[in-house]
Amino acid sequence: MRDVFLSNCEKNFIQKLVSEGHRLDGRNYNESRRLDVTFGSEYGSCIVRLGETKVLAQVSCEVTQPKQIRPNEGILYINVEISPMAAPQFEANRQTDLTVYLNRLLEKCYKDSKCIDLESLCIVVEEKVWSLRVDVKVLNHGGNLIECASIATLASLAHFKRPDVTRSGDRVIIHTIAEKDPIPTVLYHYPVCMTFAIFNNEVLLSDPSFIEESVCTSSTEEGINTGGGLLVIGMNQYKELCLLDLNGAALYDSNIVHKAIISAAESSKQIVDLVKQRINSDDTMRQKRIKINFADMITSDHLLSLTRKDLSIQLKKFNVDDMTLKNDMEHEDNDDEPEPSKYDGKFENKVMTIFEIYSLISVVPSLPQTAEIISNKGVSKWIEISSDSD
Amino acid sequence: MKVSIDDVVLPGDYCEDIVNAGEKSKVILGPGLRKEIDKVYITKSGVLRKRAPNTYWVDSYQKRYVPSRAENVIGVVVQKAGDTFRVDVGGSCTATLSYLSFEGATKKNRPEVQVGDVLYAKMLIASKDMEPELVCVDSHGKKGRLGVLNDGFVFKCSLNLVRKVLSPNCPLLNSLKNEWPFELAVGMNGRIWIKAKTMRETIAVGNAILGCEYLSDSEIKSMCTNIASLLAGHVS
Repeated sequence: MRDVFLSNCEKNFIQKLVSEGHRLDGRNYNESRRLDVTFGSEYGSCIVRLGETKVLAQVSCEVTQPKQIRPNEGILYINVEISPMAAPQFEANRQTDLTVYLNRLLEKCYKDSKCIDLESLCIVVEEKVWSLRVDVKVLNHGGNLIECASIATLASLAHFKRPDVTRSGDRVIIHTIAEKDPIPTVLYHYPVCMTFAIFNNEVLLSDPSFIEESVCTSSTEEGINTGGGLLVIGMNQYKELCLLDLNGAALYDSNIVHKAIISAAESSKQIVDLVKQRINSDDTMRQKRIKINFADMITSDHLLSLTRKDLSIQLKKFNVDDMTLKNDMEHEDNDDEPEPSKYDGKFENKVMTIFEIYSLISVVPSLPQTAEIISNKGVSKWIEISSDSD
Repeated sequence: MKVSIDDVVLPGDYCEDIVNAGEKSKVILGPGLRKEIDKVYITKSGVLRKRAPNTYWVDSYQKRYVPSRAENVIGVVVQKAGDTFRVDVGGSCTATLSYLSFEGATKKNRPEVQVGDVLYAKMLIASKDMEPELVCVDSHGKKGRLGVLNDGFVFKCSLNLVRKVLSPNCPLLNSLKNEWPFELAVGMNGRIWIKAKTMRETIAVGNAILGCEYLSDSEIKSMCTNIASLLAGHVS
């Protein structure tokens, strides 16, 4: 993989812009890009769009022999692929560091947090279990691949249904979907990864775009790191921490992790609610025998399907139409209230052992729920006006 | 499939109109068209266009740059290698730029170019078997507008947008230039360098350029005034 080479002027511009309290695409520090989940015709296939980043995930299952050490558990396998389609710097059929990193993060988030009931995937102990395989394919790389890929993995796993199985004596019959209703995967909790870009060890940007990601992890001309990095936080809808990962410069202020976690707690709930709501509406559509496939995504607004609503460089409040659209979406998201997790003790113990270093984090559930990650530099001071022309 | 002018075409389609026209007089085949024995085949998906009297090409959407001679491009210096600079212009491989191809450069007097600098340069050699070569001077040894671009901001866009911005019929730059002062360099490789007095104005230029991609001429004009009033802080 050829590295993307950043010019000095891009680096300086972004650094200065962020330190003045703005972002290139006119968002606030803690504002995410538009998230959209679309399901395909099969169970367990979905495309997640986060701004310009697009990821396709497909879950498939097959009957295999279980592992010797876990004879009564199914197998979950996650495979990430990044092709030159995503961005020109990637090569075909070659594993890059990014692929391995992404794969490992998703495995940490979905396998190690035990969000899937693997025991329910068992058919015959020591002989036959279901093996779930999640294929994650990056369609376009516009920054924050981690969050997009993790939402895609979660949505496809939650959407997936495996064929029903009946056992009569030694025989195992796998029913087709026409014969018996397929069974959904059991998910104890819904973890999602969220990325935060750290600038100068003090500013946190949620959902960084490609250029923000590359600037914050790059070093200056003299080879000195700029005190920036990428912080990945995995959190479920009960505001429990499942994963923590940092690359880039070392942090010397623990408050920044705190801030990021509080912000992540808020947005993880929103994301999971959106995924759940989409799955529910998809289910009712399927029950009404309405055909669903990816083509809906393209042709839904015909002539306008090419026009991009979010530009990568944008003034604050540039397009007022977008703002109204976003508000509408938020009104639909009134799903059920957060219920206390039934698996509190079980997971926290497991998860916390991995990150004992971050002993701070155990305080999180008791923290007040105000999501304010804006640093002391304050919110953007650009004039906010509502222009309602057009 | 047989196609005619102004159709939406796909690779593998062929056009007989061009062959018929070619029997009477010479025709020029532009990008996306290829002559194979006695037929003219399409090699890109897009819309088949014709300009009178005899030029044909396929209008397609593309982001990846293929170097071609005499185009002005914007590149980033990736490496200093002896007496040449390696410049990333977004093609399949990096282009070379000799340190002597700057205005007034001699073996003693080297130009001041650092790794990471942004350059506006002309494509001197672009062939499919060789590395492309850039120059920062014209044939008279003058730099003209070429050379290192300081400060500002560089962003990438589709090649179609670059052509649209550079087209003399496009009202974008004409309506923007009256609103606030800025500098602009457009590379045919899908990179645009912008610089204005403040960062907010720089972003406004970038916003206007990226926003005009799918707009009609009159919409571009209203968008420009819209952005200008946003910038000035008035309610439009």
